[in-house]
Amino acid sequence: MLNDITVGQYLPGKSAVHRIDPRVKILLVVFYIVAIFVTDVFWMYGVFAAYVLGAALIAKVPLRVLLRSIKPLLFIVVFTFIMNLLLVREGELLLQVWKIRIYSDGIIYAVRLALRLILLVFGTSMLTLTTSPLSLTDALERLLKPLSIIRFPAHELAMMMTIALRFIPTLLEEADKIMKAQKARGADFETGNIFQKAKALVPLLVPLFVNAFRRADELAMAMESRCYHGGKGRTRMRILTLSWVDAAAVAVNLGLLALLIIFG
Amino acid sequence: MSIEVKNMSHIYMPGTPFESAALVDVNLQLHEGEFVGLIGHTGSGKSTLVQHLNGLLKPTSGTLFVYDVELTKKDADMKFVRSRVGLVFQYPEHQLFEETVEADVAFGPKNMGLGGEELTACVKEAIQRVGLDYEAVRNRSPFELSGGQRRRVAIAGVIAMNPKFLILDEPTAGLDPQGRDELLELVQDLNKSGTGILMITHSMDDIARVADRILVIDKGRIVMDGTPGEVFSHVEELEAIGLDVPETSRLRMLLEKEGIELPSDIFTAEEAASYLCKLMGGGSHA
Repeated sequence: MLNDITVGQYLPGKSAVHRIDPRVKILLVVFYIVAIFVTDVFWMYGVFAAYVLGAALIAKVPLRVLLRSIKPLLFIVVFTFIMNLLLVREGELLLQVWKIRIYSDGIIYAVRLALRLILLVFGTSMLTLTTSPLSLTDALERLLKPLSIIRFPAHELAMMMTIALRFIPTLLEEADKIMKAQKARGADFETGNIFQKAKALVPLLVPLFVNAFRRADELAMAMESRCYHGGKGRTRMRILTLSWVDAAAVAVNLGLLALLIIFG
Repeated sequence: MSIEVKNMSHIYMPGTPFESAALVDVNLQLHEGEFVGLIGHTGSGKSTLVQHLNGLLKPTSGTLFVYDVELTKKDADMKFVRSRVGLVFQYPEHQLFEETVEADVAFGPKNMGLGGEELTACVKEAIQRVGLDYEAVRNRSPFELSGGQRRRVAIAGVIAMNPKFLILDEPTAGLDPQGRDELLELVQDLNKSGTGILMITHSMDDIARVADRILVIDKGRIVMDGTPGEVFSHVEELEAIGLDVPETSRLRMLLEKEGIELPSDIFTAEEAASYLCKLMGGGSHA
C-alpha cells in the first residue's frame, strides 16, 4: 500500500530540456518565477504559458502529467480566486447580488493571481520533472557554495538532502514490512477513531525510528571508513559543464527578459 | 487440512509498466502438524507466497482456505486466521517496540482479546518456550538484549498467539552457528508438540535434516513437492534454478556414478560417514 508513493516526480529523458545544466535550470526557474510576478500585462502570461508548454513539448512531458501537478494546490488557487473576487472593492461595480458585490478590479486581480499561481506550479514542476533529485541537490550545493564564506554549510546541506532522498524508498519499504509484521500479530491500523488510530501507529513508528537510527549509525561508519571527512577538498565524480543547450536556454530567457522590459 | 491453496496467482502492480507476476497458478495443501521447508532462489516468490497464507496479501486470482475460512471472501475473519497462522518475518527483532520484553510478547495475544491472568500465563509460556528465563528478562527492555535473544523475544511474540501453523521466513539468517542450531531445535520442538511449520530457508543441509516435506518454488511456480529424499535427488534440476543441494546429496550423486548406493534418507555427514564405514567393512565411524 505504501508502494504507491513515488519520491519526486522525475521523468527520465534525454531531451534538450533534460540536458540543461541543473545549475542553469534552477537559475532560469528563479528568473521565471520573478518574471511572472513582476509582469502585469495579461498577454505576457500567455507568452510564459507558451514557454512552459514549449519546454514540456521538447522534454516530452505528457500534458496530463503537467496538469496533474496543479492538483495539490488547486484548493489554494480557487480559494485566493474567490477571496480576490469578493473582497476587492475597487474599479467599477459590475454585479450586485444581495450583499455580494463584484468589481471590475476584483476580477482582474483574481484572474491575475490565479494565472500566476498556475504558471508558478507549472514552471517548478517542469524543473522537478526533468531534473533528477540527485542533480538538483548537486546543483544546489554549487550554487550555494559562495555562501560558505559566511560559513553557510552548503556541502553538508546537499549531503543531507542526498541521503534523505536515497533513504525515502528504503524507509517506505521498511514501514510496509513492519506494518505487515504487526498485522500478523493482530494489530489493526484501519479501524477506530483518530486517537485509536494514532495509538495503533506506535508499534509501527518505534521500530521504524530505532531502525532508522541504527542505519544512520551504520551509514556514518561506512562513510568514515571510506575516508569521508566533509566537503573540504573533496573532488567530484560528475563535473558539470555548460554546453550549447544552456546557451540556447539562456538566449530564450533573454528574449523573455527583453519582452518583460519593453512591455512591463 | 490446515491450509489449501487453489490456482492462486499474484500480480504486483497490475495495469502499470511495472506489472510482474510474483505467483503463477499455485496449488498447495499444508496438513496439520507437518514440517515443510520452502526453498527457492531470491525473488522466486517465497515471501509473497507466505504472506498470502495469513491474509497479508490478497491473491489476484484463485482461492485460498485457511482452517476452513475462505480468505478470498470479503468478510473473512482475519483475526481468527492470524491467530491460527503465525508469521515470523525475516529479522523479526527489527519489529520489537515495547518497553519491556513481557509487554512486547503480550502485544499479539492482547490483540486477540486475551487479558488478565490468561494473558500473563501465555506470555510466560511463550518466553519459556523460546528458551529465555522469564523472570530475568520480563522487565528488561528488548533493546538491551543480544541479537539472538532479541530474535527469540520476537518469535515468542508470535507463538504467544498460540498458532496452529507457524511460518518462518529465514529464521536463522544472520545468526552464528550455535544460535542457528538452537533456533532449529526450538522450531523442531514446536513441531513435536503439534504445531505445523512452514520454513523458508537457504540452508539446504538444515532443511533436509529437519523437514518432512520440501517445496521448491521457481519464478512464482511450485516446481517440486516431496520428501527431502525425493526433492534432493534432483541435483541437476535444482542447480539449474540456482539452488544448492545438501552436501550428502552431492556425495550420493558422485557415489552413484561409481555404483555405490547411499540411502536417500541420510542427510547428515555423520550418518553418511558411518554408513560408508560399515559398507567398507570397517567398524562404526569414530
